[in-house]
Amino acid sequence: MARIGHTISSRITLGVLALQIIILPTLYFGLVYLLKENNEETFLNSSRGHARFLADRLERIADPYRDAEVIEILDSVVLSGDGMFSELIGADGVILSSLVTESDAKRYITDTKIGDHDDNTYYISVPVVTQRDMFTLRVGFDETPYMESNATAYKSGLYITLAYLAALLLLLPFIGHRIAQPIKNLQQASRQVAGGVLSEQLSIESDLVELTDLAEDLERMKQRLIGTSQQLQEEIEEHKKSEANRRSLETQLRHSQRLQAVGTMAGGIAHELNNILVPIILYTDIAIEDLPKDSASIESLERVLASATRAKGIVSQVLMFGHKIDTGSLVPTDMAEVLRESIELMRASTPHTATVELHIADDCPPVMANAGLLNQLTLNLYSNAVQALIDAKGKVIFSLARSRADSALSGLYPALADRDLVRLQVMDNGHGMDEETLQRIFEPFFTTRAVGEGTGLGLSVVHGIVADLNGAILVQSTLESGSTFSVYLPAYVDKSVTSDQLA
Amino acid sequence: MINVLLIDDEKDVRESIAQVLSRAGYHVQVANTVEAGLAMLDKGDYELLISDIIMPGANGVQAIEEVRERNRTIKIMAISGGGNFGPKDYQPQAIATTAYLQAATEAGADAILTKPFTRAELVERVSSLLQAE
Repeated sequence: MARIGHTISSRITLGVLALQIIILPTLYFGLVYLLKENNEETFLNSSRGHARFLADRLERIADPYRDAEVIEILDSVVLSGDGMFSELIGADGVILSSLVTESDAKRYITDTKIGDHDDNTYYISVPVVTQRDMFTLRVGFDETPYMESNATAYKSGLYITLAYLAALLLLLPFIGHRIAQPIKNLQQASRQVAGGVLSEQLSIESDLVELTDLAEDLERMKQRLIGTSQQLQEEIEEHKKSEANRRSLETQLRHSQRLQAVGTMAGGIAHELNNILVPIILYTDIAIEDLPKDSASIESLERVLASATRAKGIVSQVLMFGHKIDTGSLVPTDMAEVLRESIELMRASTPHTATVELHIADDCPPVMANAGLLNQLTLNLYSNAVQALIDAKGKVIFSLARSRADSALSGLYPALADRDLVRLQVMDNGHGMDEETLQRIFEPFFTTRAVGEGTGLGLSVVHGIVADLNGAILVQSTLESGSTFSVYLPAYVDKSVTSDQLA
Repeated sequence: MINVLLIDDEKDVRESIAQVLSRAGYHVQVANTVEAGLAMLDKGDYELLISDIIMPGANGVQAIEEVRERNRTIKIMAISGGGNFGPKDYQPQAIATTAYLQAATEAGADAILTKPFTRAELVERVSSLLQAE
């Protein structure tokens, strides 16, 4: 994978090259300056030495004006190739080399530096003391060799600088590699560790203290991380175990709660059925006694008795089994349809003067249930509401709509938060309930109705069904004003339908 | 004639038991609530009280406790529908008939009879209870 960024090697190369912008001119000009200085010193020393040598020779001549050797000495300057001009100036006249003309002599005695006057000649004057008098030897040396040496110095400076640059360019990758390679090795080891090979040693072979320190720190960090990770792993395992344990406890609790509810319900049904069986058995027995011994009805009544005894057996058998809603029997069910059917069914037994209203929203989603359960749910709520009406002119309003859990409901039932819900609301304007009654309405066999008018099982059945369907039921009630039961059931979401299809 | 008071909230249960016991030679009077039964006990002289246990309002156990406090000699028979149901470790006080019958015995009942029973069972239990001293 291509990565945007700099490698250490490239960064070092760039840095060193950037440094050369300062170093190279300094190196070049410094070199040239030193070479030129050296040339100049050599030229001057040589010129002065030569002039002094001539002066020494001239000082040995007694009378320079008369001795022809003076001319020879002056000519030797030009003949040697070093000088361009020579003359000896005395108080009584000027003795000129025979090889130069008066016009060659310039009107100055000594040049201050090489290159003065643009005549390629450097003039030096030295004193000459003879037995007769004091003279001044003036010699003009050729500057051309000095200039040529300087040109060579420029070239040499350039060559040396270029050679330095070439050597640097050759060395740079090597230097970069020397620094970067240990880091790359460390990086590879780090990747191995990151990939799970915890045995990989994080070390570095380098003479750079910072890098060896870094590697040691990383290795220590790795060891600590290994320790922390193991500890974390153990904690996770422990947490998983306790979570599993908690779930199992919860399941047990739910199961035992279900059994309690089932036991309570079965007990109630048994009680009702057994009470019904008492008069059946006793009256049948009395009827048999009252009939003439040859009555054909006796056999029929004995069959009634036998059936009643069988019923008794069945009741006790039913009691032996816990009832449980089979989740396999739950299917996406249209609650609106069930609600309409239930209300149609109940209307017949409702006082004609009582008003029953039904409001069903169009976009009501289905719920996971079955028609039987929802029928039981709505019939019990209906029956409860109608019986709460104070007089026959009361009103019961059913409303069914799509809903979401508000903060209060989410707080009580976190599982319903952020879910699409279906809300069935049953509102009556009956006598309402006090706080004590509200606390107990879902208890099995709790009833406020007159003796023989109700079993007290209806709302506990509602509660059981709602709980089995993973829903919630809330009740609001005000004495003398009425009650509102709100049942929330999770909306069925068809996972095979994608959001694109829904859109 | 032996006077018997019967308390049960179910009309058919009351009347069928009353008829069976009348035919067996007892004088039976009935009440449909504990309160009504206690009021009758205060006025009349009964040798046997037969009381249902699970009833709306005041239940049979409370009735037996009250009767025992007032009358130590009267025979008391508790009757109740239901059975020994559910897991053994679960016996909610509110409904388990066995728990109620147990409570009835502790409250002072002399005999218990589980519904439904046959005519012969009823007559036999009442007779043996009244003969026992």
